[in-house]
Amino acid sequence: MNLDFSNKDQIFREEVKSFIEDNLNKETARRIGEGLPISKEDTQEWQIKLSNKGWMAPNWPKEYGGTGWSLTQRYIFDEECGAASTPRTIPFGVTMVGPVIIKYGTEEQKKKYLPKILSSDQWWCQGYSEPGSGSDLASLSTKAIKDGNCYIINGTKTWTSLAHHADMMFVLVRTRSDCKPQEGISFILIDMKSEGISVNPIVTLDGSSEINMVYLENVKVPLENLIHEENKGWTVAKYLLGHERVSIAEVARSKKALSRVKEIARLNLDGGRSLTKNDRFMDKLIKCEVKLQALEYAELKVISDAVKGNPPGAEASILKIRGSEIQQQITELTLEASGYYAYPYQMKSMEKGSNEPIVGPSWGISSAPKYFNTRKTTIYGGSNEIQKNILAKMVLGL
Amino acid sequence: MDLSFSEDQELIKSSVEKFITDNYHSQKRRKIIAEAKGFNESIWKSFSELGWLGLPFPEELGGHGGGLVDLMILMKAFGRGLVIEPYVSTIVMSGKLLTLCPQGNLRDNILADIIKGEKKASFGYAEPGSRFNSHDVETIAKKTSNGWEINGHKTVVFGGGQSDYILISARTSGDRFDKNGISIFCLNANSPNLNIQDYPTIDGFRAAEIRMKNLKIDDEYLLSKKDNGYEIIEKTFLNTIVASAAEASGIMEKMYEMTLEYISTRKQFGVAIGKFQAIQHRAVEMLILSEEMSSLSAMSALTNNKSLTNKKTIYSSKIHIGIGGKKLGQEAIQLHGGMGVTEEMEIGQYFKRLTLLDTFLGNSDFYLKQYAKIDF
Repeated sequence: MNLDFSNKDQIFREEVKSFIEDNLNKETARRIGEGLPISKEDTQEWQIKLSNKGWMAPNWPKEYGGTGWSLTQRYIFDEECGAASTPRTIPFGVTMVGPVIIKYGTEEQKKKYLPKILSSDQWWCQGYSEPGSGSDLASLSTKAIKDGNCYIINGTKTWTSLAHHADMMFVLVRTRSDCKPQEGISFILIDMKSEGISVNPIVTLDGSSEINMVYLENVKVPLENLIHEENKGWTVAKYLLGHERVSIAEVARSKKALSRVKEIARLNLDGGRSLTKNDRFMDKLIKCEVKLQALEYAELKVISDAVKGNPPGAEASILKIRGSEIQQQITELTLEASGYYAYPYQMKSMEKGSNEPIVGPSWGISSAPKYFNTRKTTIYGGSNEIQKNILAKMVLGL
Repeated sequence: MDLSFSEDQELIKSSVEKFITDNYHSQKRRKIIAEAKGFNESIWKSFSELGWLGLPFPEELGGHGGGLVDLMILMKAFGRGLVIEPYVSTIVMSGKLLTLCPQGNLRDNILADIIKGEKKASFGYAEPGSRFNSHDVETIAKKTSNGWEINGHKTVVFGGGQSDYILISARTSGDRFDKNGISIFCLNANSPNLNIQDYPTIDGFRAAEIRMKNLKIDDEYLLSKKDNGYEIIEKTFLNTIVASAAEASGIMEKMYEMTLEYISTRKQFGVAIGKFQAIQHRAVEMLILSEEMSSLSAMSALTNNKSLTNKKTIYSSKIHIGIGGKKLGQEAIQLHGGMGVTEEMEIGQYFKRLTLLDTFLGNSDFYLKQYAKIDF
């Protein structure tokens, strides 16, 4: 056993570092590091740089324009991006629908969609959850009915992140009702400019609106937008879920966020002393770091096993559970460190280019909004309760 | 021993609960938050008519002579209704501070105006570097021939921008952290050289940055005895914590009820999610946390009803706001799933207030430390 990266991997790490150094917009990185919102353009700027370098799709095979990196290299890339606070690549295209199209898509579908994901010309969103179908996703009721060379789709999708920026949406729809719920679901791609689609923002506790309700009213979608076979959408969704879960631990980003909490704790905030002298605060900070170390090792083990040909199974749910809890704990620490500066509600000052006067230290502005917003991590991506059900069944055999 | 409310107390309880049901539904609150002032004049007038503005003041000062138990009953209902009017900043906090200051024309007039509902006051104690240490005072008041000249910055002053009078702590002698040498002054909100930066807080209230630059005031605006303000501040904090714990207790009870309602009606996998044992046990834990808050709140009010002498019960209630309140709040959101993180759902509004009540006057870590100093 050893934790050392090979020479080749270390050279690769240097290459990634210098690429980031040369290409990352420093102001964007600062905003991400401080928990401030960034615009679509900020993300797009970064994605285009990745795209030009040929690094947009670390998880795709080379023949489709992916990087062809090993799992270890992908891990190093994520780690360096996290440490440098780069924008996150929007996952719905490259991480989610991309691999699905590669696995199940027709030649035409591959030609039509993959290049635009690689070039970042098309942004995607995910139409899964519905008001009545959250954890029980298979109960979804958005209907697609065949009509000539089209499907006519009616229903409501919810929690759709970035739908307001998206050009395309992949959805799960019901195409059959006279069977087990999972057997009547299809996976379909929808152009967001289609008639009958309306996107309504959902404002979250922090005052931001990154998620949306998407209403589909008699939306016509060509039959060729079906992925895989009709009523095989559940198989596709499960395949996609496997891709989503691997990167959900967010170790690198959490390490970066925790190191920021440490910087804050070193400031003289506590009546002339630093919070590092406050044992109660430090206990919590260190307990969080202990959990994060365990998570980091667990993630490395998953990668090491996968390199040897043993891809992660249900154990990946452990990464999701602890990863999301740690993300929340870090926002909790920042909130506590902020003291009274958790109070001022400064949405306008958080915006890019704002000249609004700031109340309190600049690092405190986002502390409460982040804490409230991050409650979502244990709810989304399969709530932690669902992850525990998976573990109980698949790992414990109960 | 009799832990049931008296007839008068039942009357306060039913009148405030009725008022909130009739006049303070969530849309109304959201409208008030969006208004420039952040509070509603006609609601404040009703508070006055219903006798709530005079509730905690002694009769000789024009109040109704209510004790902390009465205040607890009112504040718990305010918590349940998520009332965002500046009652705590003006009546509970500034009111108590003024009551504890020596008798004087200025003090008596302000108190009378507050009780009548004609004026509001706020108290600035925190400073940019002080965190929760209220004896860390860098605002300096320097004696002049006929008064005082004040320089300093009071931060996150609740209700500061809504007030006619801003009460502040300032150093009149000693070093930065000395408990002796702190005095309490009153500032007219429209004084020259006084800068008030008003802003909304994330829990729906209002606060302000108060900056004083060569601000000159007359002698009578020194409210406490010179250098002897700290004890008054400490007592004011204790009194305010009792009110704040009652508010938290109302919030937690309401959050528990809303969550129970949600898990009883939200169906997944063909049944209400409240049918799952894993969910049931978590809801039961929420009930217990809420009951504990209610117990600690009642205990702190009862044991300090006549005079503020039992720090332990007060600190206990404050500590539970932080520890039990945080746990209950996070569980309430989690059990609401995605709906829990939307601005639209009421549960989130309560969650935000409860979260910030931990920070108010010092968080649970701070009071764990204070508590340890009592016996050890």
